[in-house]
Amino acid sequence: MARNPQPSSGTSDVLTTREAARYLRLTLPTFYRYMWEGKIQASKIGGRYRFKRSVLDRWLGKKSDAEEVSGRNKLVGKVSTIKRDVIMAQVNLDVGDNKITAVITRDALDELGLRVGDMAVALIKATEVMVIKAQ
Amino acid sequence: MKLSARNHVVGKVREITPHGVMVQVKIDCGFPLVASVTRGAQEELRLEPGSPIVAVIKAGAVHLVPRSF
Repeated sequence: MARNPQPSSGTSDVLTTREAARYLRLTLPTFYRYMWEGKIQASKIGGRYRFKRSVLDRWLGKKSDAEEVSGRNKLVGKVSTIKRDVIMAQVNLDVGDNKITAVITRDALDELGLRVGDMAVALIKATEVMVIKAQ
Repeated sequence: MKLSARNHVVGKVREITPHGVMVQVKIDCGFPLVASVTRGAQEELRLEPGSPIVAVIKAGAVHLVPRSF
């Protein structure tokens, strides 16, 4: 009986989740974590994730774009709600158990094409963070 | 990289002065601009005099002062 002619890390440019994780030599849980953190770009086709090899190659060479800014605090989260006004918009992110609110211009929102459910990075300059001592 | 901040100012680092955990970065971008970043950020971005940079300022952080001249 003929075996599957395509090896699991085959030459095709489109990979399944398992193949993509193996290609990057990551365990599946780590790979999923990077996905949820928005570090790895995934496309969903018919409820299944597929990965382009060229995109993974670029990720290997460059890691995340967000590492190229001076801001120290980069919180990766999922957009939970968006409130739009004419000039400004309020974007709420779920970062783990914490909720982060960003107020950005409406122009910025439209330019980023942000939607509820998207992954996004909240960037906060270290000098803007206040500290409250726990009682 | 797609950033929500509205103001992106292209320039070059002119001078870096360490101040404890922070460094003051003077920027040449057609007008004087000063940034204060942590030492960690400076090392990670390998900022030194002459480095090409983009200064990013959130629109909501810009103050306007009326002037009469």
